Amino acid sequence: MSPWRAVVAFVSRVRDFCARRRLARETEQEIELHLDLLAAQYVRAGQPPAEARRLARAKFGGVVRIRESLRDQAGFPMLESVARDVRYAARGLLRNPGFSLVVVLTLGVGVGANAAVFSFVDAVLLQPLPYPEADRLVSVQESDPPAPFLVTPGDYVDWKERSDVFETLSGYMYSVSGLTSPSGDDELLYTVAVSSDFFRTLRVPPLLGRTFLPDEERPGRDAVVVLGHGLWTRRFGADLDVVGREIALDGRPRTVIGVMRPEFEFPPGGRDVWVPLVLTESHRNDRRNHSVVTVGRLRPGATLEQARARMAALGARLAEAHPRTNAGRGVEVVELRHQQRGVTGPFLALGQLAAALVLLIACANVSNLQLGRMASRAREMTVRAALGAGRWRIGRLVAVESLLLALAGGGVGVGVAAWGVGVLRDSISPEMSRWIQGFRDIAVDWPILAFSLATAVASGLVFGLAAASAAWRPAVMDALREGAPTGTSRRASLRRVLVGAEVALAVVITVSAGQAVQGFRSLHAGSRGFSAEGVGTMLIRPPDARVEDSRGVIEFFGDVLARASAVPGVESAGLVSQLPASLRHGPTVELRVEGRPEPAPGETPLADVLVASDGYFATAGIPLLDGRTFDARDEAGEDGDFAVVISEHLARRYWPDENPLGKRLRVPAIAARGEWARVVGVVGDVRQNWFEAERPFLYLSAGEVANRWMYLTVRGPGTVERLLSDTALALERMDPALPIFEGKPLSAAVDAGVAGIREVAALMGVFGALALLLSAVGVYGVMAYAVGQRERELGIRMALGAAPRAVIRTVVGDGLATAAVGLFIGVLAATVTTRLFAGLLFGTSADSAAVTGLVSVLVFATVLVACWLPARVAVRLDPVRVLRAD
Amino acid sequence: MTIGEGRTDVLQGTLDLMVLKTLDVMGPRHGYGIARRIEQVSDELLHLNEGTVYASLLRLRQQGWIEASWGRSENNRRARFYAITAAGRRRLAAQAEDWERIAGVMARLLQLSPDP
Repeated sequence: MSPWRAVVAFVSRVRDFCARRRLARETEQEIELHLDLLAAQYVRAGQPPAEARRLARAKFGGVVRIRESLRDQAGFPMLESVARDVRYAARGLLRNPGFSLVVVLTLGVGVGANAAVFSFVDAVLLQPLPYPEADRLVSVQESDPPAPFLVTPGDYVDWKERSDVFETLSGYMYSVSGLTSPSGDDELLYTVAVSSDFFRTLRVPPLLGRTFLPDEERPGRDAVVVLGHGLWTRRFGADLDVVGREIALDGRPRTVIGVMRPEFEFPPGGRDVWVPLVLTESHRNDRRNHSVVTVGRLRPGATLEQARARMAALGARLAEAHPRTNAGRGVEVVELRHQQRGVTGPFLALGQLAAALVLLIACANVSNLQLGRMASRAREMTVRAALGAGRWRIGRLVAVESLLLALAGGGVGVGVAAWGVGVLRDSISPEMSRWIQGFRDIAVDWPILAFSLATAVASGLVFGLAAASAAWRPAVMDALREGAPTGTSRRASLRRVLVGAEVALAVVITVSAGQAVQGFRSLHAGSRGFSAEGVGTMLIRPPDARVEDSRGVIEFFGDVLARASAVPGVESAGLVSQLPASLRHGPTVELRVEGRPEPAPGETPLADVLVASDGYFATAGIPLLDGRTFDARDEAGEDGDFAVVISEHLARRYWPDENPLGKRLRVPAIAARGEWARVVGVVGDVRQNWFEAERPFLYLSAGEVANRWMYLTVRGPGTVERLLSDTALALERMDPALPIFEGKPLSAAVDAGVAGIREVAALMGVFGALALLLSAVGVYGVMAYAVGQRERELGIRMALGAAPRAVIRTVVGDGLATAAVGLFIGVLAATVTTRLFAGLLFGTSADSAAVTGLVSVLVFATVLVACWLPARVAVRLDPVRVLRAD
Repeated sequence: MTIGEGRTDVLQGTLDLMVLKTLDVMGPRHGYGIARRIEQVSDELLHLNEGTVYASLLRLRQQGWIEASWGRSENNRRARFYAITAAGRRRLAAQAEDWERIAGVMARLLQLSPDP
């Protein structure tokens, strides 16, 4: 048929559809006339009129069928009957608003929560990076790095110069720098020092000006800076003439050569300014200190496998050439978009798992409710079947109902997802989010919303149809017979399985949630080795013009400390190069212990080096366990050695059976001067972040070692805000131009540091509560239905004189038995998830017996109430009325 | 279109063709008249469920090959008369040609004897 004919046919079909009532009347007339004429013919042939009529009908064929086929031909039969089904289903659902509301809300919450979390997963883990040919972007790392992603400058230079699989292999280093201005508006900038091919590797052009030239990697030529879009608008009013201007970073002038586009935020965690990475000769030979992160672009045609093989081989050659540092150091190549996976992945996976379980519970709920509803409609279904409705017809009705519920639930789900994504985004502090690649692109993920919805619809559909099929399976007359039991045992057992599964899932989520909340509280409750209460901090850096050498830096900070200590209200003051629990850690260095043999490769003692003043330990509440902290003797250099204070962990690790006091160490920072460090004291461990165990710490004295960036910490009985402003005033009197950054309570700094886990814990808490609520709703719904189904049986029992108490016990016992099985399975499954979880989050333990016990009691109580309430209603009914009701 | 086994079957496409041809030869007719004519021509060889004629008429009308108008039947009742359109004639010619070609091929095929 030509397309034109198809159009003509469709148009006239639509026309017929519009005139379908008139058409039906006319068709009726035509058929009537035809039958009359035929009958008249038979009469003429000698048949009696009644027989003639019968013969006419026979010759015409099934009148009803012809009529229907004509009606179908004249319109859109599917559409019409679906519309009828929709109307009917909607009426049915509205007649039962409680059921419908519960299903819609359940679905909405499950679908929405799942979509919200997945939107995060998608943006952070799955989306390609926003760079041209981003699949060729990789990072080269050590296979077992002491800190995530970091490599040594020496290795980086060798990899860069001696590999042939990369178009470019660039490197970068994180740092901070102080932007000072005459107006006194000082700001700490997240600064990244990058190799000159960094921007070329990513293939991102600047918005204004240019990026770095190879020449600008040389000392002396490196006084240039590229601004981030945020800083440019914030501090320079988006001035188009900013290129060529000079700004002072840490008091050193740099020429602005370019401004990046707003969407460019690489690497994660640095987006204010980019400066050239200058590698001096000593950098190039440094294979000990991990400080550089790499990002490279594979040569066209080079595969990831090739790159891995080449780099592994190169790593092996370097290990041979530099056995002291590189032996056992594996090299691996990871796709850039997967680099963060190891860090953020487990947390997102955990959230996603919880969300998926909530969705599963929602599905189980919908199925359960659908089953219960179908059970109570079994008679309606059988009547329909008896009246000749085909299976397809009944199935369609159930399907339409499920779809309507799913659509309404989906509407709620979209709302929940949109709201949830917003809440999740806002709950993550900027301090945290700036480290998350792809964070700014997080938005509601429509495909997953559709997928979650489809899952929920499908489960409702499957169980609805299963229930409906139970209605048409038994011989129709059988089911119609007065008083026949309306629930089949197959359906009852299906319902038991669902209730059990729901309880099990709820236990798993709730136990994990409890564990997360407990873990977070343990992080927060001062069990991290210091006390943040009443402590204020600020970051200080002496202007370069003010201090000439390291002696000057030491004196400057001595002055700062003296001023701060003299402030009324300050009980103690101290300096430290890195705040506790701040996510960052000081440089990790290799130590040599005097009198010990050369350590085997890979077993070199490592420690994070901090510079601190004597008062820091008392101010931050870090307990002294043995020996002493720093004092004037150290500064005077009386015994010739530098003094170090070590953490308990370090002491236990390297002097398990000895007293470490008085032992001598080579610490690279000071060993360059050929001097030893002597252990003078042992202090308690401080947990620096939430994703690792204690790290070994080594404190050098701020009176002996210069560090340009120091946190001043002050403790006092007054409010922290007062403490901070008084101290800042005192410092201003010392030097009005002194830049002071990040003045805030230590507790705020700590909060920012536990941001990730706080969100995960909160999320898990919400999901746990949701899971418990949803499964309680589900269990209650099912139990209520089940009891409703047994009303007749219970009525008979009551009529025969059974005590109400005994009847309740039967019903409740039945429900509890099912729940107990679910509980048991749930607890078993939870032992697995808690173990997974314990590995993920420090401070939580796999031994979650208390949480599990609490959850078990809670779930059991829920089930008990859910069974008991309907049972009580049932025994209060008048047995006579119940028996008559059928 | 499938080939039925019994002689009582009227294939859908062939019924449409029969109706078109009847209207072409006999001029405007109502459904009953068309059914009588087909019965007469088929010499009782064809068993027709006469109701299906109306399905065919509706189909042909929706394609624009025939048109309907109201008139009076022989017993003076309101009846719908169908007439072939110009498009219907073209369709009939094409269909008839197709049908003859297929019929010819079938006839030759069925006359084939095994190779000597």
